Amino acid sequence: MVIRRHTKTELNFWVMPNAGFATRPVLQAFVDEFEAARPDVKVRLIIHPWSLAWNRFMEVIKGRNVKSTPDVLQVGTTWVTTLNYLGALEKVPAEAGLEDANGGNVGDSDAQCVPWFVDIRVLYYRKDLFQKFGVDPRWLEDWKGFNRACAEIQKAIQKGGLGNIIAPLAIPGQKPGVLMHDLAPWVWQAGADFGGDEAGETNLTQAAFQQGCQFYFDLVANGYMPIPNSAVPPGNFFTGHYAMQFTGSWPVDSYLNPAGPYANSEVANGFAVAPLPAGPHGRATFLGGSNLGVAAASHNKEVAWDFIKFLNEPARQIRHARTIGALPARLQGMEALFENHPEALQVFLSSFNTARRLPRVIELGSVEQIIYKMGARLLSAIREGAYNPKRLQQEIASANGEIKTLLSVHRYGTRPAGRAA
Amino acid sequence: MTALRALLAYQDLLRRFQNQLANSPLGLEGTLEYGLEYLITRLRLQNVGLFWWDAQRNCLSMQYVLHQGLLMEGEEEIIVDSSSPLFPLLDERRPVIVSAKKPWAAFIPLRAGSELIGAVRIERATPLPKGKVMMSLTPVIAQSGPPLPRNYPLLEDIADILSLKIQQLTRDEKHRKRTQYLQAASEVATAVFERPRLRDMLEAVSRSIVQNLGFDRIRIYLVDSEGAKLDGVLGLMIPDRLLDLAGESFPLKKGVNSLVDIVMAHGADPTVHLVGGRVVYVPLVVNNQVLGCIAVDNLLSQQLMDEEQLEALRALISQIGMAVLNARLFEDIEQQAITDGLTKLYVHRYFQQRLKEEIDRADRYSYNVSLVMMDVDKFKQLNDQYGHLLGDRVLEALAASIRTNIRRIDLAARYGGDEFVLVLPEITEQEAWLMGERLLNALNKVTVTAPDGTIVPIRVTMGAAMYSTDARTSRDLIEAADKALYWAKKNNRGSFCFYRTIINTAEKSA
Repeated sequence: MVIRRHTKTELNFWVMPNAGFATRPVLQAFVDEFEAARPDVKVRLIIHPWSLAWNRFMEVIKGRNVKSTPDVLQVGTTWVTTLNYLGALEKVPAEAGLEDANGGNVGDSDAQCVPWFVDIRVLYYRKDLFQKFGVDPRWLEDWKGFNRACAEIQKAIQKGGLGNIIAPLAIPGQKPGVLMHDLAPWVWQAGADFGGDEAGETNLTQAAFQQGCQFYFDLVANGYMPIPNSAVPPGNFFTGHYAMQFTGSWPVDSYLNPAGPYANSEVANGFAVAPLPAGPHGRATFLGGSNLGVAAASHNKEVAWDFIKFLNEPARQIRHARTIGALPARLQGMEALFENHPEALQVFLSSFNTARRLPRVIELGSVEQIIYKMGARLLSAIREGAYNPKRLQQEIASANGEIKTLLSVHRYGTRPAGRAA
Repeated sequence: MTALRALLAYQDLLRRFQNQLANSPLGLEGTLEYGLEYLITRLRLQNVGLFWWDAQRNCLSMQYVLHQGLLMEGEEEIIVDSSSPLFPLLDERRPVIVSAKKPWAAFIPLRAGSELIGAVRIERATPLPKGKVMMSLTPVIAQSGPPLPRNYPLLEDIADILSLKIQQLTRDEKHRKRTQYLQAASEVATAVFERPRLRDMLEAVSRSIVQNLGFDRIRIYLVDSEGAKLDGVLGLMIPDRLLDLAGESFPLKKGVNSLVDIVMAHGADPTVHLVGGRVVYVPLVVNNQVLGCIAVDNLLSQQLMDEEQLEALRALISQIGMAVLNARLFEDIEQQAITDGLTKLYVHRYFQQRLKEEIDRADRYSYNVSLVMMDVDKFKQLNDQYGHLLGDRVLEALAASIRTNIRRIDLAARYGGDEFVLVLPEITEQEAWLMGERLLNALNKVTVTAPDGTIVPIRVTMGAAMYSTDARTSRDLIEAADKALYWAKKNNRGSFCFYRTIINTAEKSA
């Protein structure tokens, strides 16, 4: 008797919890659909927390984890440059039928990854509260007006009787630090940037950089945007605790769906979206998101690209974006996400025109760490009442020194002849 | 029977929990993820929170929350002081029920030996049943330290199982690291003994350090022979890419950069300098002499370096320093053996060996090699007229001019007497012609001054042949170049002639 063993091609699919606890159901549904279409393939969905995902993939690259390696993986936009440099990702093959996904999108179009979803920062605000406090949404046009709006809302909060509302503005995240992409739009709008491009130069001590940082940290120092701590109840704009929030989310099917179980009805029925207020050098906002890539070490590259192609079909991208509260990397069909909020669609689309990414440097992760620590020190200073422009200047100078050392002595990759590695 | 069934179910739960932990991959977090996932299902928990203990801040800091089969980053911090209900967790390392009603919640300590490293918070819609069997069951798991009151046997057993697993993982990880560090030590020792040449030895050492000690990148810089500069020698990064640091050279002046400062400030101090937890500088010091500096970093992976890694690196440094000294000595001696004492050009024997190698390489990569032979016109007359010392100075001056007028990849040797030879790899006939003409012009400008103050002009004649158009072997190539030289000396002294020219002339005459 001959025993026939039909072995399936196994794909390990590594992702991060983009949709929180809803990640598994939505992605498992895609996996099931793919397996139904391709009975010869078995996809194993593995969800790693963001911080562990990076470390675990690095362990794979270093050859220290050979037990569980990814074939298809989610690649954050800030990871792409470093992973490309390491040769950890496979180039997108022309024959995989992914040219369209690469060309017709607004996300990262690097040849080693296929854009999956994007995250673009806009300002959410409560129309009902604005009306109640006499705040004109047109004030949100620029920094000055934005500060005025914050001050008015703060005054109203201090008078009391506002229920859940804690502060005018929610700080993104819950950790006592500021991420580089939280700070970036204000720095860009002030006319500065982080530098650190291929020339390896950085100059955070320029006046415009300080001006951008000051706008942001003053929001905290003035009490418009409270630092998370045990005295501040957890919550954000969508839970109804703040009048405004800068975020890239578009949780139209969860927090913003008045009929959904997670929605705060006041927020879901009374919110509006505006571009980030313009700074002295005009508007700029942050563009982030995630891509899909195939690990260079994968033994099933062809099937892996088939799977990515399947995930990136426009209808599936929209379904995924809807679930995770992001925007699809392809513009095609995006209107479907905004069918009840056409004015928000216009805000997002106009924000794409002013969107920028963080500098594409191999050492971006290290630069981010330095900026994060600078932010943590400044938030501590605010807590201790020691924050002022001079302190801000000192902390920026200190971060600048660290980045300079990093880029001048420890530069990876190509560099002009005679410079340090 | 009911009691027996409950006992068996209890033991089955613990056994399966242990199995789940045993079968998990990916280190401590992965193990806890797998194990705790099992507890969620089996005990119908709503949430599990994983906290690490921050002893400096006396707080439990949430790392991950496990819910609905998903591990996610958590953002919660709990200060634990003597007034905190969680104090027994810290003080006695025992589980604490923090909410006895609905929803029910308890903290289970995570111990490594007697040290608290964290806690697991389990949450449930209703209190966990505390049946008689569980209460009366004696501990099934060995426990270090004095026996504690077992008010919540299930939680205490889970705490014990987790602690044992953590101990085992910590031990395994230490063992794995130790094995890799020993491997590194062994490979470095082998490289030191088996690879006498500097670059070769440093490449093997770098590879071993990156692969076994788990760094992203290593770069090695050495102080030059004059003690004036810090020169990049080589580097290596993950996964296994060699880095050419030949373009990196820093003057040894304070403030140029961190590497130079470390080398200058720590002449006798082989301290490991950890910068930001991800960059390390180690000066290479032997017998109070600073040879250079090794820079290691994790700037790509962002992984923090641990003390054991640094200790392992530190342990290798003196060995590497000694190896650098030995390799330099070896290369000096080797250099002396292959260098002509008077002209400092390579000797005839080394030229023959390198010519064969270049021809082999030319065959492999399909490129041409040009061979140029030259000698000094009327050299015997110079010697007779001004003495042999002046003849020596002529040869020295010509050799110096040759060295400055050839490419880095070219080889110049003293063929014998007043004859020199050049091997020019990866070159076309036209490029060789241009280079030869330029060199001839430069050499014909060389003069020496005789003892009586006379300026003595020098003239040379050159002949060249191309591999593979003019010859198929090194011997034939030398012969062809020699013929070209002879022809030039006979027909147009002080000129540069190609073997191809003689053939063409001969063909025309015929």
